[in-house]
Amino acid sequence: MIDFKYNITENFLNCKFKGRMGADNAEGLTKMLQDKIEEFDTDNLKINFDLKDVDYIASSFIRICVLTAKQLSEGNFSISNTNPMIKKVFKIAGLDEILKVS
Amino acid sequence: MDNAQQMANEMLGKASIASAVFQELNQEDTDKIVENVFKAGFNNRVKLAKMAHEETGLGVWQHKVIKNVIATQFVYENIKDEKTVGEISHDKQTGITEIAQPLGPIFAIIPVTNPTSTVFNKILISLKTRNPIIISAHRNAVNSCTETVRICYKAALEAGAPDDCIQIIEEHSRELTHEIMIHDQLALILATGGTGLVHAAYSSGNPAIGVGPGNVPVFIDKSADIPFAVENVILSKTFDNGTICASEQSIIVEEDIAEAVIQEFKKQHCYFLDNDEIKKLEPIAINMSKGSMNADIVGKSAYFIAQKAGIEVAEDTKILIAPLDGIGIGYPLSGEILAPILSFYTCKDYDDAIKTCIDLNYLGGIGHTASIYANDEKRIAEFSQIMNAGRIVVNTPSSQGAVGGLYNTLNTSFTLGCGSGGKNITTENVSAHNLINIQRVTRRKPNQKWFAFDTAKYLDETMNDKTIIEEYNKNS
Repeated sequence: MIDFKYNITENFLNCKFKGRMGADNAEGLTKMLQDKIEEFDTDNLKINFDLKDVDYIASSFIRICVLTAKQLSEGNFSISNTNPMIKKVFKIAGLDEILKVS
Repeated sequence: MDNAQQMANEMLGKASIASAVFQELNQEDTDKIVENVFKAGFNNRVKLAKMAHEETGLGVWQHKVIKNVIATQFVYENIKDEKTVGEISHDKQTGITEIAQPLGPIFAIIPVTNPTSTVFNKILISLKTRNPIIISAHRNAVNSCTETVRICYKAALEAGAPDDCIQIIEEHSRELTHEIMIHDQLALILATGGTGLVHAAYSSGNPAIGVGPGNVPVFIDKSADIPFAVENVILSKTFDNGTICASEQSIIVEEDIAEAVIQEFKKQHCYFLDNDEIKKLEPIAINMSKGSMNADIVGKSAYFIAQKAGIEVAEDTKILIAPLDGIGIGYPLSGEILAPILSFYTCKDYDDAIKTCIDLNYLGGIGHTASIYANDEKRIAEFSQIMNAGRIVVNTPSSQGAVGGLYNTLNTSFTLGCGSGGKNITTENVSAHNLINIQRVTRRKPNQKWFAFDTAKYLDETMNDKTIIEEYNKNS
């Protein structure tokens, strides 16, 4: 089960994840995120994925990051608090800049 | 046929004959040649260092002497007992015998930063493997390299090496370099140089061993001995004014030790730049349109560069240090600079520091070298796992550490492979063993399981892996 919490301030959606972001619940997570995003005007919405408590990401999670970023205006998606190994995953995938990974 | 093509044909024609004759030599003959060339090179180390310094205007001649020593004494020590001719191993158990054969003519590209030393290095490993070599020196180092070749060639001939076993392009020519690179009689290109040249080598259609650029991050961990770490960084970054591509480029520390590290650098005569001074230095150190270092500050002293940038520093300043809070575009000093300039990053915690190292590592230096000062084994292991570098140097000056022989037991070499990250075929310090074809003579050692198994069962679609593998391993 993916542990996913979020908080909203103005047009900013901060999503906190916990544990391993494996492939098992990718579909459920995609739907949860999609439902949430649809409540907003995506032109002005900013989303951050806080990965402070995440120690593994599968390719399905990377796909979710990319798909989420694509729905927003350029530069409105970010990923924060990665551990060094996950930072390296995004770096190797060539996505660290476009997804604003820190 | 144009002139360059004709010249390439002549040089490769001579090299091919040398290659053929070389094959007749045994290990003893070969070792005698290598020893004689080592001695001649070693005994001319000072003269050639001074020549290279005068001709290129780069670095410090005394340090170039040390480079020549590394490239002769230490390379020789590293390879002298290696078997490189004929049977090099025989394993009765496996029934495999390995035989070393030469590759054929090698084309060696020589950089301006380490000219005579790289020539020595490449000549010694080529002769040790019975390969003739053709040298192409950087246009600003042709004279010193030509003299190095003359000395080595004379010594090689005296010891019985074939005629034309060492040649050099005496007048720098891009066309001729290109024609040799693509020549069908060439066996290998050993390319130590800029990215463009290395790319050209890999695109030539001939096998190539190239190197990539560096951008060496140095993580000084909380567990490090700070004065020791700073002293070693300075020793390395000032060595030949930072011309070795494995020299340190950035210092990364956590904020709770940052002030102690800064004070130690200042105590040891390094100068921290303020924001205005960083702005003055950027266009002097970096070609702002290309984003790469300016050739005219490469290998110059910190004082010279500061003067050029209009920054007041003491004459004995060893390194100019730029505290930065970003990497890449917008932060020109965060890239590779082969001169005594360092960037400095203060990070909020350990994870932040390692992530900064990753960003610097991937900013043009993938696969090259990374450096850590620490006394915490866990952190050393974590850092090593996460960096993409052919060499992780621990508590060691990076320049002298990466080339091997002085501070560790890495192969001694001025050609430092950077693996696939640096678009290279190897992460190794390139040495003699990279310059042989190994033939494997394999004697009949029948696989008993295979011969005992009814192979018709592979054709039966109803049998799955479990059934077949069990059957295959039955009674074994």
